[in-house]
Amino acid sequence: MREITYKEAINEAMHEEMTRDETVYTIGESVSQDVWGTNDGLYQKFGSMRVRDTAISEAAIMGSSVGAALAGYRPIANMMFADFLVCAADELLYKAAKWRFMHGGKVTIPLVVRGAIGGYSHIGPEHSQCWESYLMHTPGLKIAIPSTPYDAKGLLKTAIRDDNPVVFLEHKNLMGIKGPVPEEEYTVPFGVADVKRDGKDVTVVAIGYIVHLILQVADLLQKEKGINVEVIDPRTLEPLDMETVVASVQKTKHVVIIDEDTLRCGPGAEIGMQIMETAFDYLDAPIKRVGAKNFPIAAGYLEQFVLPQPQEMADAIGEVLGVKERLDLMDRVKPKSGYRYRQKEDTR
Amino acid sequence: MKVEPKDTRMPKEVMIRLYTDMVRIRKADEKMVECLLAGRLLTFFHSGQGQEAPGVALCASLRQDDYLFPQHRGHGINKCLPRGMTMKEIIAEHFGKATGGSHGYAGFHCCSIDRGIFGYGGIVGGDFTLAAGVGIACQMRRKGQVVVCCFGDGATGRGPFHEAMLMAAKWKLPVIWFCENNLYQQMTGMAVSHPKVDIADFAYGYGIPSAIVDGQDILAVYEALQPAIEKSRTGEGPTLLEIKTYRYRSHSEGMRDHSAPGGRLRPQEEIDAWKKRDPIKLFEERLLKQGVLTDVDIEGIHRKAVEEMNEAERFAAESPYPNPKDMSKTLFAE
Repeated sequence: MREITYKEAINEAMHEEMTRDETVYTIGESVSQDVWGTNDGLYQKFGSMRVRDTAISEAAIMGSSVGAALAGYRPIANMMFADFLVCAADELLYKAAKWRFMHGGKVTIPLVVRGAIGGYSHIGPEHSQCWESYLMHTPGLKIAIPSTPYDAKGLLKTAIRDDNPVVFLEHKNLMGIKGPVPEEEYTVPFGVADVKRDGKDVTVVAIGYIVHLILQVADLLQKEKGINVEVIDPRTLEPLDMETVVASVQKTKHVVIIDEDTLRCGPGAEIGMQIMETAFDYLDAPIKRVGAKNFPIAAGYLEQFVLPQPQEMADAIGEVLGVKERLDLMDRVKPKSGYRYRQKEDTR
Repeated sequence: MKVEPKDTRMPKEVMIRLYTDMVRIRKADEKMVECLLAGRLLTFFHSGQGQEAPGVALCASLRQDDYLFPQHRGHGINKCLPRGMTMKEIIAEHFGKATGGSHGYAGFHCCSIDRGIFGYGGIVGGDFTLAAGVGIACQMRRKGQVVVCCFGDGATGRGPFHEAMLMAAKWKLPVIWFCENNLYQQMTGMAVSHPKVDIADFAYGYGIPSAIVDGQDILAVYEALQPAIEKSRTGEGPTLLEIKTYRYRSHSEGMRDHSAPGGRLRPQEEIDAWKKRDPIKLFEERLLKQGVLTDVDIEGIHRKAVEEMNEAERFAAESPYPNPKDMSKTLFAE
């Protein structure tokens, strides 16, 4: 199968869905030439009515998208950095999420909100966050976080065809990652977790860019310590496929949940508690979580002390399994900056 | 754009309908206050007595396929009733009943999608940007539809007002910004929060036309709306209409409120002066003078409106509550 990058996969989904359905349009700040290149060629193909560059008006981008969705269109609101969602909190967390329920199911809001998440790019606390815990706390929103090019394309197509508001979070650091993507049409359903690596000793639930890191850590653990890690990527946090997670826990009896969002009240807290409620009797050790420490995501040098690092992930796995001798990664797995990646490419 | 109030060559039946709708709205509002004070409403009520004219004139000016954001004052009754929603749907919603306009899920957030009436949220000024988006849909659909975004003076303090005004102005979206300026935002007078009392002045910065209209004169509002709607239908973009009006009662029924009659901020003389220009009374005098209606007709219209409201209340009281088992299928569309 051919291999393309994550951003190319997103770009293909955008082209294909906008061609398939003329009620689909996209709107945002500099959306015709977005930071990562995921919208390349859209403006040239679909014009200014369907690729709408706005002022720096996040509330208007989000709110107008809710309005157009209420009136029968299928907007894709591109917020550039997911951090900027907070400038449209009423429009997203109230209008998009609550209006269908609040109006007794009389309206549908087929809206996709795109935003780039994640740190390791040293660009400070207001450009580096993962937003999933805010969103998971808001009933009425679906949340997709793809970790591979295949999932990115398939999930975005599903998101655009869904009759509900979907927040589609793309990780900056994954934009340049390559992976197999079929040339023929396919979609990836919501609410179906994907086992990214089969294993029998420990279940690691990982989200977004962390999937990419933990797969590298897992290979080293296998090779050097004989630890067989199963990696599960939920892919969507609403709907959340706990069945696949619980089935894995029943097999491995050990769980580590790793996510880049702030640990306190993060997805790990929710997933961990659901495991406690439904599969406690299968556990041979307490669940461990790895996530961002309870600080704003520091810029520059200090960032590494806030965001979860591969060594902590390896250590957490060792701890739940009661392995005495620690695997020293010696910096063999290193997070890469997603923002620099694009800058470098542009100046080439 | 200056609009002088004047008599129109409106057909007699239309004038009678406008008058009847204003009376129905007043009686509906009185019924809501009565029910709230008797503990029969499950939710708030924000009375809009004194502000009947703008909504009735607006609905008389719209097409069936146009859209409307009615805003919270008077719970949008001054648009929902003349646009065809029934008082049964409105009051049952406030009673939390399954027969309500939003099946009992919305409380005071009325909506009627098949009549192009989107609800309003709990955040004042939360619908400006949504209206801009409906404007985008109308523009892309190219059927000459317009959307009217109703709001109060207080909502102009919110950022989304300016974001939406900018977007609609730049893209010439078919949006009528319809400000019902009643001089008070919750318990605070406009003079406390705004450097100027004319909301219409904001239009200048966005390069769109505006007009200040006497909101107690229903025909003046109707006259002002025609060119604004026509411009939007033909692709010339938005207009800001500032309808000067007044609410007689406090911000929210039963709440401590300095703007309530006799309160710290609002002198009784001010309320009395506005009541002399009550929109229903003004129009009634005109219709009597023109011989469109007689005292007997008027008495009949009032009596029928009261009966309608009593019947709606009975309907709501007898209606069933929604089934909580339906909540999960309401949250997401299949």
